[in-house]
This record gives sequence, structure tokens and C-alpha cells, in this order.
Amino acid sequence: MPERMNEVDSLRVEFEREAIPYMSALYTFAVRMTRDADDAADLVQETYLKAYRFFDKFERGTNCKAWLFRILKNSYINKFRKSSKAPDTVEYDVIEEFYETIRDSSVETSVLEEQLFTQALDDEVSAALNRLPDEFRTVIILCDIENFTYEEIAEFIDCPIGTVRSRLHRARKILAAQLASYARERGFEIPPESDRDSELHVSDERAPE
Amino acid sequence: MTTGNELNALYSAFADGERLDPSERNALEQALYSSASARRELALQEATRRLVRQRADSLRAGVPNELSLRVGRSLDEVDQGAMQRGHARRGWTLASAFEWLFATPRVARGLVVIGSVVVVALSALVLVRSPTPSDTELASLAYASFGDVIDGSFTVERQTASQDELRTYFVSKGVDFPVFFPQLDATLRGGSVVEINGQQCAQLVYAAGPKTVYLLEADNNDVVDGSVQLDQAIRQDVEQSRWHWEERDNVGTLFVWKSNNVMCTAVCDMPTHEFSALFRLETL
Repeated sequence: MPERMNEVDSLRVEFEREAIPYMSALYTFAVRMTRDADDAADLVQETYLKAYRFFDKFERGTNCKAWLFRILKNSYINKFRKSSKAPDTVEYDVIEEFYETIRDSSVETSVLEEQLFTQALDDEVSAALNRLPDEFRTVIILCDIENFTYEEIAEFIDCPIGTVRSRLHRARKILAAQLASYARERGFEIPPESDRDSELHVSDERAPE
Repeated sequence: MTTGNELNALYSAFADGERLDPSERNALEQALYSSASARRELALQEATRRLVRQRADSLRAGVPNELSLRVGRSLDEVDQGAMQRGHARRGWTLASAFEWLFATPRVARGLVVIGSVVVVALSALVLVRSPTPSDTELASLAYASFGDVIDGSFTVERQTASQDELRTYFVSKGVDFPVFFPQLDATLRGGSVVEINGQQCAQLVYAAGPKTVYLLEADNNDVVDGSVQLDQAIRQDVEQSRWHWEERDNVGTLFVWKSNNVMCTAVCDMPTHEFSALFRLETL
């Protein structure tokens, strides 16, 4: 029995060292996906419970964070998305249309950034992130907040890397459009559309996935 | 020739420093060189990326103390359960048994002699009879049927995602135990029935993305009375540790557990850690 206790103890110590540090990342992701603190906490608790039960099956030396996120995603899909009858309500095509009206080809990087974003507050970035459809919010969180590589994200969402690229592209465009809208509402002047060069202008049709 | 959509997808990858192949890089560089709109597109991606990353800390949700405590309590419960069972799933392994036996030289010598005799006898038997998968052993059957599903030779007799429809179907086919539908993060594709020693057993097929999960279920009473066999080591594992996992190279991962007096065997071509993540806790 003492051997058993030692075994349990050492596994627990290892689990706490390897897995528990990602609680903040998991909880952040869960909050962003469920939009509810209690649901997010339930999800994280279930994730850790499941991970601990199967920790002996976890391949040491592989990416524990990615493994935990995968468990969380599976639990999320099962618990929340299946029960959700309504699809995401964000009309991103409308937002992209708006984005088209504020484009200007002569704007330089720094100016663009300043014009679009300097007045955007943290809360507004957070709100804009929350308004993204699930599949776009997921890639932004994994890439820009959790620093997953495209390869890891592709594995996480079970899609080719090309899909990760196109989703990130679209997600960032939508975010930018929402923040531009915010800046405009605050009285910031967005230059009118002019001199658009169209020959190499990329289509905004939805990228094939 | 790179299309507009393909080019679009490259901006984010470029902004993130992800690897582009030479043709992609070439197409992107040409676009950036010749088109202001391409440069603006990239600038927008970079600016948005920077904006989110600069705020990554503030965008993270602080973990409530209560959650940390809850997780800690959950892990305590798992630990206590494991210790109460005495024999844990990570406890008495074949390896540790050998380690213990061979730690005693006299026992070890005896075992070596006995083992040699057994090996010779078994070799003779193998020469007489080629090994074939048992036609009544659940795990072997599950592996074999999973192979059939993968190579397309398995027929899903009732293709439906409806559990009710499948229950009716199984009853009509003489399955006389309540078929268990595990809570899986996968889509139910349908079911079939297979007869083992006169006992009707249920088969379920699920799709988990591009992967397939195959389940073979038998009434545990039939396993207990021996009309449906289950490998002794697996059965012992299930009785003592609630479940059994194993991976076979180039075949798949096997998961065996008992639920509501139904012996369930599941096979999937995922590694164990991914396969296990498909199961919801309620199943276990």
C-alpha cells in the first residue's frame, strides 16, 4: 500500500508540474468559447479530471499544452456546441463589406495602425474577439494569445494548414473592421475610399477550406 | 499562378513568420512589390496581429481561486479512488511482476528452466496449428472487425445516427441486452449484429473526423459464463482497474470497459491519448 501511495503521489506531482501551469490558458480559452465563467470553470475542471485519469497514457516529452487543449475542445464540442441550436450570429460578410468602404491604398502601415487602432481600448479588443464566429475566434486565441504554431493549430482544429492560414487572415480582417468601426463611432476620421488598385486586389470571397 | 484566395492566406502566414514554400514566397513578394493593396493587406494583418499580441495578458482571464481548489479536490478524489482500489491501472504491470520474480535468483533460475520447456512445447504447437484469431474472443474480434471497417469489407447493416432506431434494430436481431451507447465526441454512423457462440452481439461504428471508432458489445453474463470469451488479462484488468487500454502497432488502440453489465470493446486508429480524449467522463 505504501508503494501505491508513492506511485499516486509521484504521478500527482508530475501532473501538477506538467499540466496545472496551463490552467490560465485553458480557462481563457474556455471563457472565450463559452462566454460564461461558470461553464468555463466546469469545462476546465472536466478537462483536468479527464487528463489526470489518462495521464499515464500521455506520451512524455510531447506537447502537454496541446494535449490538454485537445481534451478541452472535445469536451466543449460535446457539452456546448451540440446543444446550441443557433449558429453564430456575427454577420462577418456585412463587416467585411464595411471594411471595404474604409480601405485606402495609400495608407502606410504605421498610419493605418494608428488610425484604426490607437483609440481601441483593451475592452473593445476583447469584445471584438468575442464577437468573432467560433472558428475564427479559436485560431486567433490559439495563435496570438497562446502562441501555438500553425501546425499545432491545424492539428487542434483537424484542418489543413491552408485552412489555418485563411481563417487567421479572415479573422484578423474582421477584427480590424470591427475596431475601425469602433474608432469611427468615437469620431475618428477614416479616410474615404480612393485610388484603389484593383489588378492585384485580392478577392474577399470566402477562401475554400 | 496564385489565386486571390491563396494569396490572402499567405499574408497571415507571412506576418506570423510561418514557413512558406518558395513558390508561395515568390508569389507574395511579387504582389507586395507591385501592388499597394497587397502591401496594405499585409500591413493590416501585421497591425491586427500586433494589437492582439500586445494585449495578450489583458485578454487572458484570471483563474478564479475557486476553480483551482475545485480542480485540486477532483484530483484528490481520483487519487483516493485509485488507492482504495488497491490495484490501480498503473499498479501491478507485467513488467513489475517480472521484476519482482527475477529479483530472487533461485526463482529466476527455476523460471528460466520452466520457460524454456514451455517455449519448446508452444513452438511445436505453433508448427502444428497456425495461429488464427479466436472467433469467440472479443478483443481479437474487435481488432479484426475494425480492420474490416477500415478496408471497406465491413457492412454497417443499419446506417443511422439514431440510437432509438438502432435499439429497435438490435432487439429485432435478437440482441437481448441493453446496448450501451457511450458518450463519445464522434458521430454515430450505424450498427450491425454479429453472432458469437450463439450469442448475438452488437457492433457500432462512429466517425471522429477522418478517424473511425468501432465498438463490439456483449452481455457480460455471456463473458462470465464463457460463451463469449475475453482475454483473461484484459478481463482481469477491467475487473480490477475498470478499464483496459492497449496499442498494437499498425492495428489500432483497444479500449475495453464494462458499463451496465455490458462488456464494451472499442478500437480506433488513434494513439491512446487521442482516443481517450474522445470519451466523456460519464462513459467511464
